[in-house]
Amino acid sequence: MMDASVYDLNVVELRRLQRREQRIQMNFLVPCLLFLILFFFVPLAMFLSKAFFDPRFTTAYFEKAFTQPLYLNTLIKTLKLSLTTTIVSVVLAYPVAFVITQASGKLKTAILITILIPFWTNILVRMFAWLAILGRDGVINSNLVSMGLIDEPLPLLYNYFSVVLGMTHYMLPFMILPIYSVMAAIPTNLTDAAANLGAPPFRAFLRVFLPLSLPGVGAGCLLVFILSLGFYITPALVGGPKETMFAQIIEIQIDQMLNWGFAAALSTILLVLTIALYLVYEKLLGIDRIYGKEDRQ
Amino acid sequence: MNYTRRKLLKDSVLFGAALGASSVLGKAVSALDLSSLSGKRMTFASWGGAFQDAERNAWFTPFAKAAGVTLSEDTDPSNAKIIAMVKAGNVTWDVCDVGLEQAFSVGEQGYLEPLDYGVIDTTGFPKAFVTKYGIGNITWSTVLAYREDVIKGDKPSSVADIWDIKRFPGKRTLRDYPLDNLPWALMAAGLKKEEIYPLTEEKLATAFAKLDEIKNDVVWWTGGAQPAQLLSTNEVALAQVWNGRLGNLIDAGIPVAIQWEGAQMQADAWAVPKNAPNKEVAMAFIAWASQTTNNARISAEIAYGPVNKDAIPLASGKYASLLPTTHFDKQLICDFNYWGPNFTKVLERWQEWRLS
Repeated sequence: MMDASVYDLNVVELRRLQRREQRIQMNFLVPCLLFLILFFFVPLAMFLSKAFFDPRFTTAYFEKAFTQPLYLNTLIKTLKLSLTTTIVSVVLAYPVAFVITQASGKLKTAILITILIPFWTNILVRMFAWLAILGRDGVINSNLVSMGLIDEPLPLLYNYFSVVLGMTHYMLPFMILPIYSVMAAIPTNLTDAAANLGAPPFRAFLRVFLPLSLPGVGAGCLLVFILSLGFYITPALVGGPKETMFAQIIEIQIDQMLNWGFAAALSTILLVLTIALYLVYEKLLGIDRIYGKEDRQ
Repeated sequence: MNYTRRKLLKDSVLFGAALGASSVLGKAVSALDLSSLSGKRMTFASWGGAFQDAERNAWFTPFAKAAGVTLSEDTDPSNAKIIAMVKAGNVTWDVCDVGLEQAFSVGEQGYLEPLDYGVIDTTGFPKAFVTKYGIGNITWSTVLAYREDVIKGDKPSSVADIWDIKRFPGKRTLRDYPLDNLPWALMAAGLKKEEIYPLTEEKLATAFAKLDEIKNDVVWWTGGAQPAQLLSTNEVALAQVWNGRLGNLIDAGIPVAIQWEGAQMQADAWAVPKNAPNKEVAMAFIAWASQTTNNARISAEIAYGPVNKDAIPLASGKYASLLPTTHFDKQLICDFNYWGPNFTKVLERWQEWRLS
């Protein structure tokens, strides 16, 4: 039996209660927030401050980063590699995500497991697997040579190709899963309605399904691009010098040059760039759309 | 050095025979007295695994027993960690096993104690391995290794043959590090071993120009296991590799040969972090471990050589063929007194060259 007083609440009272509930819910965030502040933001600020204080205020590190072409060139290379990886990933991921939404039962499970198993495998293991596949005596080259298709093993390793391949392999789940989750939420009767109104399948896809799936594509691209910017292991193991990425340069400064101030400056540049890209992205596409909250009032 | 010695000799003549020849010609080293250390503690940090086991068996445990010192140990004494520890004002390590090329700059920045050469006797040590903040403890070598089944007929006769793309085509692997490559490049440019150090500006230019010639044929490695892996999978036919990494390959039946001619002999070193809690124990330990008979102990435990030249004949024959000290005269000795003040500068130039 319900309490009669519930029905007596006026709108103002209801709002008040809603706000109280929100405040209580916010308290649940406190432990996580404290953890983040103590173990992430404080150490991060301590490290990044080394870029500016040595121990007195200095801009020398940033001057060096922006005047010596090596560092900006590496940053540009990093952006290029990340962009290539994002494009290749989205081209490969979109059809896969589409097939998963169309598939049912066992096939769907099978595809998802195929995507998730590599996702759960350590990146080092995956990179060493690529070494075994792409090497001079690797699976591909030894087969091609024994079939007589080529005389000399193809240079498949330590170049742009192998880095993009390795990064894409790592990134695919980050692209497929957000796209799939958006696609799965598109009501099937919308394309049916388009067909009913005379749209051939391809046009129904192009005019109805594709636009509705774009928030997933946006989310996937953002995730993959930003994760790619900080890549380290893949270019170190399967890349050559031309594919050196920004994170490797930072590591060299910390570990070999012992120049933590400069490393902090380079890290700051990468962080600011990442945040800037995120903001531009939000301006253009709207982060809310990515998180699927279109109907906000 | 010569000047000082001559001056001292003159002084000793002037002021009579009171000054003994030994104290004039060598640094006065007081006899090592371990008795005062009894009951104290010492913590050492090294690189774990078989290497740390060997160092413990050869040096730390026997020293602790002889001096009555309580021992504890830790791993991974990288420069970054030593710096972080000193900066935090919480130094727990007394003795660390470090690389020598950066000990100087780490020390000059105030993170290492200068070694007490009033206690440590350096007789028999190559000068290149005795530096202000670190003294060699083991020797190892960066050698040229090649696949005997791929390179048929003509064999590489020196590390300089890495540059001979015509006779030895295909990819080669080199460490992504100037210390190993610049001296080899100079040998490939025709310099003799004794002409390599110090690397003048002119020699650096020659070396980088020489490296340009093979830049496109090189796979760069950063971790010690990589060149062995690249050799075993036939990715490269020639490799610059640490001698200690080849035993496993040879045991696995991979046809690999070593060329010691022009290989660069290097040393790990003892160093003492600034404000180490048991500094005087650390100095006494280093003095003890550097003594001829003690320095020789390591070669019975692992395939590394002693640093003290007088210790070479005393070293165990167990790993004789693998020890760099067995091939002493073929090798170039890495001059850490050159690298000390110059390393950071050259490393930066190296990075720029490699990435451009």
